[in-house]
Amino acid sequence: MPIIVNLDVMMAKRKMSLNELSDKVGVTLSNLSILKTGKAKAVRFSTLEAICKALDCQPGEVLEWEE
Amino acid sequence: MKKHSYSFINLMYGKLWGMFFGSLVIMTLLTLVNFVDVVSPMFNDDAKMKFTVRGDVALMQDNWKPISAEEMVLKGNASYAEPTVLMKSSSFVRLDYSDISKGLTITNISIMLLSIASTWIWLVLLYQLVKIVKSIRENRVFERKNIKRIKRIGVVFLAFPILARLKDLLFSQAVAESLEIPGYTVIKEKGFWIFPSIISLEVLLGFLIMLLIFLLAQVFAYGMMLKTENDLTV
Repeated sequence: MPIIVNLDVMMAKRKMSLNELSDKVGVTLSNLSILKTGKAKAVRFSTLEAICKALDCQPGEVLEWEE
Repeated sequence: MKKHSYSFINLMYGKLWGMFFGSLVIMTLLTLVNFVDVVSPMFNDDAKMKFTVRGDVALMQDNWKPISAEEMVLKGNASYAEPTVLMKSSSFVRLDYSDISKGLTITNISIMLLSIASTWIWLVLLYQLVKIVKSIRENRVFERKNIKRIKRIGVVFLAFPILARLKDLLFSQAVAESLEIPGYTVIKEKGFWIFPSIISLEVLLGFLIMLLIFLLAQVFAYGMMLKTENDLTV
């Protein structure tokens, strides 16, 4: 996967649990774990917006591209 | 997940299971009866095969004239209830026989196996249908297994007429084997028009239906692809 989701890093920085994030973002736990494990094929802008709002960060901090 | 409430599907589901188990019982009995009919002549010389053979045979003769029952000679152990000339189109004559012969000739065994196969293949179709309806009820229509099931149903639609055609050919063979008419040469039925004898109009139709069902399976495969993509979108 060239695109890496750094959700767990950001969550550790903000000291937020997966349950808490799921509540704030309004996405089910199973969908969040799909995103975390890198199985996701696409991310909706609305979801990305909610995640950035909940973690108070930029999209570039959550997503990363690697060769 | 939203649960669909198709009342038609729910109704169909129970009926289909009933049909499946009913057919299972009937076909097991039929298979047993068939088996006993063929195997019993091995032990009992007087026993005869019970099934009626209605085969089309061709008679080679330039000037065709109606043949009476007295002119026909049945060979070997064959016996008949009432041979009747049912139909004459060009040089083909359809003859009706019952108790054509007894014993384990290759033709008789093949007829038995084919009739068993053509009944059991119907169960394959019913079972796959039941499974598909079940998956619709449980809201998981777009499964990889369902695509296989739909393809299997398509194959059954081709296999059914082929088995029926093979049975017809074997019946003709059975009639031709044990029938003799002085002045005529009895040969088993030829194929449909220019096609080889295994291909009949029904087989062609079955092939078309199979292609259509395979197309449907392709549509399902595309639907499955869309669904996985949708499921993995966060």
